Amino acid sequence: MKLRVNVKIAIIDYKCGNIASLKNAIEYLGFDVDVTKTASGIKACDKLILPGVGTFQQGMQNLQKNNLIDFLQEAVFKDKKPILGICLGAQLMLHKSEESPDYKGLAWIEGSVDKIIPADKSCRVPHVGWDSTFYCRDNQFSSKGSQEIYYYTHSYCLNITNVRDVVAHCHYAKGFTAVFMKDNIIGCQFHPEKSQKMGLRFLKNYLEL
Amino acid sequence: MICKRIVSIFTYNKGCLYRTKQFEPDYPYTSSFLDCWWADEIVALDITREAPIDSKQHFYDALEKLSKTCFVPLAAGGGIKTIEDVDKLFELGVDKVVVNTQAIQDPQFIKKIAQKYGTQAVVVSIDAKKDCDSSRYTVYINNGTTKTMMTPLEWAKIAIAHGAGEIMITSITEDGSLNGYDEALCQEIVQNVSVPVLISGGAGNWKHFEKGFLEIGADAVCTSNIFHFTEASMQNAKNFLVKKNIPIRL
Repeated sequence: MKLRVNVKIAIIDYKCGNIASLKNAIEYLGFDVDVTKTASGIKACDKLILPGVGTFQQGMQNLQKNNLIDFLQEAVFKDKKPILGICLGAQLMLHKSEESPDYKGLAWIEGSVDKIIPADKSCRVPHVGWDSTFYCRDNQFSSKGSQEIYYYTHSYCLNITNVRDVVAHCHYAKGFTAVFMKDNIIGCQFHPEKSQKMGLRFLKNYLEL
Repeated sequence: MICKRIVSIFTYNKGCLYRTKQFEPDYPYTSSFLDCWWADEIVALDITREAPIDSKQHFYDALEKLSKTCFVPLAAGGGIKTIEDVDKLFELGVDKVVVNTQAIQDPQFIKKIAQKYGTQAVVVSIDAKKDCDSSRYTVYINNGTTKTMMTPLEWAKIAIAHGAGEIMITSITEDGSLNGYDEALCQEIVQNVSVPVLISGGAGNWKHFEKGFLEIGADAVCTSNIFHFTEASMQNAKNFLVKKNIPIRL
């Protein structure tokens, strides 16, 4: 794939992400990507990705440990750089999580992270697998009313307070937000880097914003 | 709604792909058989028996190569003993780890991984065989060579209590047989746990997948049969299952 110059992507390295697979996907799509945890690394990029595999507690602790919260707040609110949170990364952008009640999230988006409650006996937790995702408003990722299939793997889910921040939802268990977007802050519960064609398309749409 | 999954198992012996029969490496095959585009997930297992000092490195090299073009979830396992082994796999681009022997010998190990990476990152793999003189199944460890005192369900419940996100149940007897999954063994787990269950050992044709989903009720069926790996055959399998009204990703 031809390298697209002038667009630099930074994956935030806070020891809580499956960085290798995300980096592979972004490079496969032809973008220049840097894995960073420094202020200068974040400053130098055009768009950010906050990955996430792990617990809410681990995520917030690691962000604090690396002094990343201030660097990220500046990039997101002052420099207005787009940022995409993936799975745990998206969850950390909310206020709190049932998974780690003693820890506050970044509070960039109104909402909480709730435990997935099975709707019936056949409803397994964690929610693992390819599931339908419904886009409910106009957005840059897929047309309104469209349905895509992405790979999910999580025991806690996004509960977004303001309907206007919800871009897509998934009906598993009692249903939850699959994609949220508020200004330059975007989050997805699924793993686009592991969702093959549809996921790579989602990622490409973010990278081309 | 959530799709049922077809999981391809790649077994590596000293970094080379091998087909197995009753858990013994049977014969090698080349990666030209591999199909990373139709499978819903890949499980890469290191089944190397002898342990020269650099044997794990061959597996790591194979994983690194695999993860470069594998845009579906990749689980890896085989001889995982420490949290450092787990860290290494995640660094290479793996999404989930599969633990077996070490988990039984030290169930706290499951908890340790789950606390660091989340329960969805831990698959506990259980290998079992029917006892000679009864219909009772017993769990085996060490590549199916050492008998434990537990039944698969007893161990599955303990594993889940310690943080296992998924259970993979494998019939040692049926491995490589092409006769179909062991229904009794698999059904007992599926019907009595609340986490996703992957069934393994014995798949020979699409009807076995169908039975696995509809009769056994598995969330995922696993196959390491190389004849399932060509672009055409995996696609055919999925088209067959869709016609049976099984929700599957095309």
